Amino acid sequence: MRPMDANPWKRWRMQAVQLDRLARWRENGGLDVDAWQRARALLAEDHAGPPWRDVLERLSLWLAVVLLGAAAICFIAANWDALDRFTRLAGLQAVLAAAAVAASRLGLERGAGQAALLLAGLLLGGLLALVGQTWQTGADTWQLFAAWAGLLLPWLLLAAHPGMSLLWATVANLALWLFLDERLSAMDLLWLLLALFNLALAGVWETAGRRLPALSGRTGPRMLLVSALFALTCGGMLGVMDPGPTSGTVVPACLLLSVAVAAWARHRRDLPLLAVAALALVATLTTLLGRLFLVALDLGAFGFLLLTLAVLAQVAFASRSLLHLSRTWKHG
Amino acid sequence: MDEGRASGLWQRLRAAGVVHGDPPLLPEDDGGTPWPVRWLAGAGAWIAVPALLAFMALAFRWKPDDWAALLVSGLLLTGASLPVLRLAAAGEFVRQSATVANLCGLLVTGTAIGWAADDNSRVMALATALLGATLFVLSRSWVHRFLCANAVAACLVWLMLEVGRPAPGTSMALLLMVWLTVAAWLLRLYGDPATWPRRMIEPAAWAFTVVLLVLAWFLPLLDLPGRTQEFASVRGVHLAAASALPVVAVALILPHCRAIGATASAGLLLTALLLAWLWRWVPGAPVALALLLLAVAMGATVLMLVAIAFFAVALAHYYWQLTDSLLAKSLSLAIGGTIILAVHLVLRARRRREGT
Repeated sequence: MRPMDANPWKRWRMQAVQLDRLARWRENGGLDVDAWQRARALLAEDHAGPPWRDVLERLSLWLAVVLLGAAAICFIAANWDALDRFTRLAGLQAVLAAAAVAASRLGLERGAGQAALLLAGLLLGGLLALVGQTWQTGADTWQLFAAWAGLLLPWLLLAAHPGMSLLWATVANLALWLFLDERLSAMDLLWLLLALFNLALAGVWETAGRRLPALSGRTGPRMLLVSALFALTCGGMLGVMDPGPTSGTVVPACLLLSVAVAAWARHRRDLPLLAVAALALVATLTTLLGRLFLVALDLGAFGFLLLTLAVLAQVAFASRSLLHLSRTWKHG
Repeated sequence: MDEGRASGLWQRLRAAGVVHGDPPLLPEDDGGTPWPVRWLAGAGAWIAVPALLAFMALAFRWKPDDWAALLVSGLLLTGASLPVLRLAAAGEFVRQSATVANLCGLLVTGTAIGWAADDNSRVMALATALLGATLFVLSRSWVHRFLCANAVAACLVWLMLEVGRPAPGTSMALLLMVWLTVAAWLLRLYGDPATWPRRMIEPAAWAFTVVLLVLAWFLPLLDLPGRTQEFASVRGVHLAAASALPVVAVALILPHCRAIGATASAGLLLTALLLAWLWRWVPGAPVALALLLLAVAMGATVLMLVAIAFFAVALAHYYWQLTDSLLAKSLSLAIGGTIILAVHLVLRARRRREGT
């Protein structure tokens, strides 16, 4: 392997940043057209092969796996009459086994092996849905997703890979969502519990990432924390707009947890996550103020003006703080 | 890029004889503002504009007969806030307030013109689009430009929905946004920044992408059950939207044909053509792939994530689409997956061959 291939994503991003800098110099008159074109050509030939090719190679693998998994799911949903139930079950099991064997033969240290295991994970869900469809136990119950998540656990631990971890998190979230939807009537509490689940998953991922290099990237925990913030915003807004017996606890909890995520993002110097946390807080606080101005105080038109000013003040404060932090982190 | 890396790049260029002297100083405009801050400001404006519009509607209780008062109010809001948006040194609160007031003024002015023309919604949309385009050019704020471009794109979609010929307006709107989005990103990639400044192209490209994503998500919901019978009339439109993928592939591959190799270039072009043909009745999928290719070519991580989200939306809609049977969908997805897997294997083999 060439030394430059160690991190193709980094190489790809670095070239993009350099091209952006050239464009800004050209845009502001720092480069004439000839120098700009020569500089672009220099950057393009500077690397061992174009960086986009390595990125495209990796992306195409994962895209192919997702498409093949989606094809399997559509095939199961088609409930093809030409095949009897045992042929369908045996056929899908054979494909699943082939994907698992391919993962084992290719090795999980390679991207291709991980992709084959992810395909097997998707097919496992398809197989459970087929069982549910064949014996009329349902193809979208929480038990099915819980069983899928449970059966995926060994592969999750074995793979220790962001792709499989995100699949597991999605399946587990669906199982929890369907379970809570069946058992709970308070929607604000449902969203809060989903948020807590995602926060816990993000915590586990962060901890695992300290030991396992494959999980040390920021993308996975960031996606889980963004999901948690989305759930916290939904829970907080629902608790304010449609207050129920649990809202007195849920709304402050949502606000406090959003602040906690913002503090964590600040600690990790994660500007995108901090911006999402700020927007979650703005949305919940604005809903709270909206209820105060428009319902409790019944201020009418003046209430909307106050609400506009409140949003402007919150966003301006958050933007200024984020800009300040960004500059401090860049120079520190 | 921090200043240290920028000067490092300049030194490399100087050593290669491309440039002379010291690196040029860049102006402190909001072009250098990190994208999460711009995103937050844009989202905040989206929340504040409806609140301000609700205040004005409730406070002044305007009716279509009051179009002159409405027009004056709209022009006052727009005119008073524009100088602040052209000022580089404005504070965050002032800049954010000016953005919200200006957009509110734009919508109020457009409504007033529509009311003046006997409550004609087409005139309203056209006036708002024209004024939005003017404000886009006059402004210096990235976020404001992005929001103005959003307004222009939304008005164009509105016009398409109103006209609704020769194909249903929903499909025509999607087609328009697909080509506007692709053209804007290609211009960002290849256009000379001195002629096509990034500070103008980027907010427009992002605005078109956002509107396209929203359309891709909601348009199938607008299609009423009986609309599938009109499928024949939208075939051409779907084909035109799906052709974005081969066109983008040609635009990206041709300039690098020598570096990629003639066979590999032909193979990639054929793949793009095959995928576009395979998913021609699901135009969301080829368009998402076209955006993904553009993101890879530009090194744009956020656009890549947006394209992946777009692709997921297209697949979800494909699953529930009623024109094809589930078996046919399964087959088309399997063929698509196999073609893309073949591309992966070819690229991997090529990398290994070059590595040895």
